[in-house]
Amino acid sequence: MISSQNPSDVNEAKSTMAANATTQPNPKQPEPVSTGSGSSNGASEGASDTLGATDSAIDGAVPSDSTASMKSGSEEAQDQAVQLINDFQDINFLHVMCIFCGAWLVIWTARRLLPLLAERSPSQARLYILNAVPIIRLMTMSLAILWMFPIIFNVTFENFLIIAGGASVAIGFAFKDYVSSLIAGIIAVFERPYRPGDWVKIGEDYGEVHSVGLRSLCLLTAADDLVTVPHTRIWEENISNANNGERTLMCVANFYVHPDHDSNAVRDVLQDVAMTSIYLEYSKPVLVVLAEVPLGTHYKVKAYPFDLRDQFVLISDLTSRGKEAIASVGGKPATAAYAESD
Amino acid sequence: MPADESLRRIGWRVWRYFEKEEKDPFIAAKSLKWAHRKKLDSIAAPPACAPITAEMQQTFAEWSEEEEPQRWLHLVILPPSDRNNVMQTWASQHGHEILKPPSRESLLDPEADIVFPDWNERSLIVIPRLERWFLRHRNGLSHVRRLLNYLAIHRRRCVIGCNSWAWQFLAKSIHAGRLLPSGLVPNAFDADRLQTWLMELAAEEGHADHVFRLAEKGSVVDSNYFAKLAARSLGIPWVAWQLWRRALRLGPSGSQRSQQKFPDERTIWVSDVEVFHVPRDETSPALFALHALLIHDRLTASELDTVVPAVNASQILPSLVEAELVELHNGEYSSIPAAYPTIRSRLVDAGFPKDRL
Repeated sequence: MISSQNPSDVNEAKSTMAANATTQPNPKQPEPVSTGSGSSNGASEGASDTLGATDSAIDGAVPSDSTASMKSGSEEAQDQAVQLINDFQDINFLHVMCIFCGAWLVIWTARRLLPLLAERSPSQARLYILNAVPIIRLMTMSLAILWMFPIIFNVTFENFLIIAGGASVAIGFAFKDYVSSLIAGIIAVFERPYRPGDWVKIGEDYGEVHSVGLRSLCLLTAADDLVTVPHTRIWEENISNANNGERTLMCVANFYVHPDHDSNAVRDVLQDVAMTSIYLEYSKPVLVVLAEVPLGTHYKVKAYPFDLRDQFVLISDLTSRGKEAIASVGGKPATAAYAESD
Repeated sequence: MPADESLRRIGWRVWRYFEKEEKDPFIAAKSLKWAHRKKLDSIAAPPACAPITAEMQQTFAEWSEEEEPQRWLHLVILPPSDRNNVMQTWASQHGHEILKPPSRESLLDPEADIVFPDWNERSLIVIPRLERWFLRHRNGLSHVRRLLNYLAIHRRRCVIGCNSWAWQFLAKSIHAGRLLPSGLVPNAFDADRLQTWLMELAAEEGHADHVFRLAEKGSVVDSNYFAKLAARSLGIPWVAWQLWRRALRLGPSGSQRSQQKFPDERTIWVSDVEVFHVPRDETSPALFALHALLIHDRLTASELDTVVPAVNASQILPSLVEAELVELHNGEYSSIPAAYPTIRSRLVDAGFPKDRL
């Protein structure tokens, strides 16, 4: 008669018995197991009933070695399937800690060192270096998890199903938004709607992608505000990326001129204003477009800076010198009509 | 903004540190004396453009004699920092008419008159420096536009010289490339050509008996040194010529190791090729100023502020002069030829639009 305080003890007992039955049947072998169990109650009795059936099965296996082998193998697999986590004495915690710390160190170094390196390297390489940060982080984390998982968990197909089921419930109820952000973050690494160094507009926020984390990205706006935006925004909103990984982006300077003027002359001087800007990228086009609007004539000067970080100074340069140029050819700024009060 | 130089400096210091640890120079740099100008002129006499003018004459000799040439205009794109006025020297040597640029003051006046020569003449006319015909300002492009329009209409042989940075700017700003889609570029000076030329210069002045030895190793300068010089100078003869002159040193007096070893020869010591540094502080205005100087060849401080507005670029000029990147001559600042490779490298690293040769 074997009794146990919990099912795992029972399983251990069964496993030991099955192994013994396979190698060399020995009726005395279960005895050490029985010494560990002392209590006797309703639950244990129920368990003993089950075990009684198991015992009979083991007894029945004695005449045939092959049958015993088959049955014991299936039971061993069943035992392993139930055991999700490896025995503590089998887990090399030092190994796990080393992997964890190593991964953390790699990620921390990449997040600290690469932006520093990017700021000090030639501008052509800046965005490439910055873009490597989220990729390195994702790869390092994936590698670390894949490495640590079999050390901690007893990896079987059944266990996978159990873990997946449990995780699904947990995610479904408790961590839905968080996991959604994580998945969106992984997709963002591959789809690249934004990368570190890009200038993007998400909702009302426009700024440089300062960093891309697991759950969110940080935008550094022109007002020097750091805005944290969760990756989940890519599910529901349009992401406007001004440079899309390139070193430059289009800048637009707007001018509203009173309709009574020589538009060709204004267009020519604005073209020269853009062409003589010290921030201009030569390989990109310069365009001056105009349209009539209720306020007057709306001129847009479109140009590219050679360094996208100069976008605001380029617009300021174009605006400042453009106003002077428009005035030099007789253009006057358009002003909104106003009503005099009584 | 443009990239920081700190990483480069750290790398350079580390390199120098280990280099110093590993190598024991043949003769200490401190014991060598800078060669004075007279001595330098006798070893490497100016102008540093004779091979280029000869090359140009070879190129244009037949064309200038043709009755009905296929092309009336030729563009010669030269590297910047040409202190020898290559085009003007060549034109003067062969008696070609030179079209002088308008004064800088008049360039900002779009209505100012330009005196053009008689375009019905058959002889060759030379415009030595197109970069002197404009200022990078919204009012500073009218003269060069008018000049190119004249050239497009009239049928007279004309050779236009322009530095590579200015041409890149003009090709963008006024689409000068439509009139002159392709330019001629002098052949770059490789190690062999450089060695031959510099040794010929020394021999011309009666210094054929001089022996040029590397201060680092004590060995006679060889093709490896000239290969390094050619690479560092980007194949530009006047840059290599100035780097070469700045590397020449006179030996120490007294019973030094060198005199014991080479008692019967007249040794000129050659130090390593000089390296320049852009001032660490205020890198951005410095680069904007250097870029403007390359485009315009030379500028006064006020002209610099005109073409680089809102940066106060002229304030950085004293530190650029101190760093030996820029020199002041007759009130005008220009980049030093020997420093051009460093300047170019820094501008390219910072993403500035660069020249093409």
